Amino acid sequence: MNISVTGINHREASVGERERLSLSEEDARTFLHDTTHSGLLNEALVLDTCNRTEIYFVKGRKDAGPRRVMEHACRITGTELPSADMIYQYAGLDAVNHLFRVAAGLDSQVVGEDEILGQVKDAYSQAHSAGSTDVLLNKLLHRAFRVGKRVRTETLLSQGAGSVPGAAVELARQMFSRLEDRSALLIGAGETAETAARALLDAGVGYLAVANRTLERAEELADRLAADVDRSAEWRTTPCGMRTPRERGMCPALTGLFQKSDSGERSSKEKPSTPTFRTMELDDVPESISGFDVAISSTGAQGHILPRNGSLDSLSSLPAPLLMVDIAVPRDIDPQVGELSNVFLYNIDDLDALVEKNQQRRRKEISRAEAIVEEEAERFRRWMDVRRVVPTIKELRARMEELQQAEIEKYGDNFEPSDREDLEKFARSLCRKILHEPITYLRQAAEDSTDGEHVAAAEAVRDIFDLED
Amino acid sequence: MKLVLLGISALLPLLYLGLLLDYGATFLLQSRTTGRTPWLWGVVGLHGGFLAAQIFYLDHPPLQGGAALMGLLAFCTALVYLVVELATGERRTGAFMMVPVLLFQYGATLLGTAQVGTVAPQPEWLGLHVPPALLAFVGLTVSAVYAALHLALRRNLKRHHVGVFFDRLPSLDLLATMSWHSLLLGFGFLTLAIVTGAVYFGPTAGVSALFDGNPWLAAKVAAGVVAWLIYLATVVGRFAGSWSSGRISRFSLTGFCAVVVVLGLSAIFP
Repeated sequence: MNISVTGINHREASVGERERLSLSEEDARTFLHDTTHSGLLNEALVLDTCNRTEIYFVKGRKDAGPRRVMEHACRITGTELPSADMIYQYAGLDAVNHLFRVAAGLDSQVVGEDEILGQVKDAYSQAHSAGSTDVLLNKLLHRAFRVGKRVRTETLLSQGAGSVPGAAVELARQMFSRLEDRSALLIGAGETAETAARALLDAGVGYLAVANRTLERAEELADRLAADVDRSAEWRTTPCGMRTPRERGMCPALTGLFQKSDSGERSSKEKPSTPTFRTMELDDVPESISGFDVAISSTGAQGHILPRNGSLDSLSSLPAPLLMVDIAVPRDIDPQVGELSNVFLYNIDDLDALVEKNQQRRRKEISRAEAIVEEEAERFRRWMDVRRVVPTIKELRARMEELQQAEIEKYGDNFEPSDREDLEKFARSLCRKILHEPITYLRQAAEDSTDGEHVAAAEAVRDIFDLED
Repeated sequence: MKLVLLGISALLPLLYLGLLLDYGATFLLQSRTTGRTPWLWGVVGLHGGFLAAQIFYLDHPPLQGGAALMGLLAFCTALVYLVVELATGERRTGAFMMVPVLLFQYGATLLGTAQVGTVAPQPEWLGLHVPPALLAFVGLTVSAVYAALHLALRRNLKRHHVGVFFDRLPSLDLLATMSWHSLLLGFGFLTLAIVTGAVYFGPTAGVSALFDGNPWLAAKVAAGVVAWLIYLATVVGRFAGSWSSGRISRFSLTGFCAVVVVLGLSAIFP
């Protein structure tokens, strides 16, 4: 099997080293073009994510080893070759296994994470557009997609959030069916808040407000988020002019007798129509919080931003529940606020426990996922083995075609023109029937072969039918 | 005609079994969790047509005997679930709804020839009172089931318990919505059942008949009115008072307790 892979990932290489070797889209296109057009590689694919840079390839020239391939990639990025202990390489069935494990999420930093399958698909799309894939990588990648899909549907490996912001979103989904109709408030504008905001936007939240002690920082964060969502920063409006859905009296879950809903599965990756952004000062939070469905707090404040006092008691009589997630240490939200009947308050320990529970559940699923990988790898191996006998089958058919034509030419003149067609049909049918058994035998030998028996079978057929080597 | 009716009666449990398997796959595999189920409409439509054909065949609605009532209960439950699914697009609870539907219809089919052959005389009011009452009962039962699930999930979330079972169920707001839609349907039919009951008893027997030597009837009417008042308060509270979903669920369960009393008394005083 000619397939190989070489690369670095999060296990052996630090983020700095991965950054240096990381191939941008442009670099990847250049690499694919150069290596396949020069004949160094017959087929190639670059998988570059934040946790790995891998190159899958089928050798062209004899000198196209993993080191040569890696050197070529480094030449394009203008970096030195990483040290040998950081680089891994697999060939043949090991390379196939590795790709399948990557697509299944078994090789990810957070086992079972969903993003990697999309990244593998993007990498294939790029390589296919560049014309650097052919029969082998096409088949391999489609099998990898199948593995990824099977693992995600047949096991619980990808179920449950693997990070704290993901856990917050998971809680929001348990409470609210459509985040597109819900509003979220971020209290704080730091890195954690930004991660949480991105998780919420990915989940489709329709309205996002950022509250911070310094309004400028809140606006900068909103700018970055808005730019990622719709490439424009035209979100600004006067703070009082943009009311949340809840403030406008919309409780979507309890209105509308016949709501339109999705006809198929709702993908968490589907982005909604452009969400609405808003900023506010920290002092406005206690007054405004009842207008939100989700509030995530992560400031560096030493005291409670939301103490339990009279102003928050009205939260008990909200028509819909309010999810409050306090990621800050020390806590921003007074724990007594969680005692209010319509408030569901979670702190960092609760989310860590949820993440750990999810991880435990995922770990139990690893063996099932590995079994799927093994099954599909074996299936791919059998396909490769059958391919090996394809040249013999082709030659056999060509040889029989030659014989058929020669005999028809030799004896055709003895027949009337009207009978000649029947003669040709007879000859073709006879040849097909003669070849049926040997071809079936070759295919079966290839499928069942565990130790090269298919090679012996092909040789036997070649000898019997006197085919050239 | 009788053969056709018997044939459809035999077919219905199989169709509901198919629906149960479909919804079961949705719940277990968590696939196609949202959307609508066109063949549910088909089966419920066929069942409705079957009941209509029976009315034509028997010259009155099939309301007497265990088989007839079980068949009606199956239809009412499937119909209520159809409305809830249409309103919310949520499919994950379908398996739970199809279990009683299948059991009722299977029972109706087994007891079946009585369902199709009876041409016994039947009081007129039965046709106007019993079907709305059954629909009310089913709607309010479904509402109570969703309300119970809603409150259980609320409690779990409040206590930070997030379990595998609740992972597979709809979200908190959807459970509340499903309970609410069923409640509205049930309340509407309960109102109709009470009105048709009053129309029958009012002119023919007078209000005093309720309290002269008919303690069970009196208790049944009282419980029915109490249930109706509880649900009326819930509906008014939701629309005028912006009651929370938790409070609506609690009232739904309370009203259901009164409905169970009515049903029990109906069995004693049909």
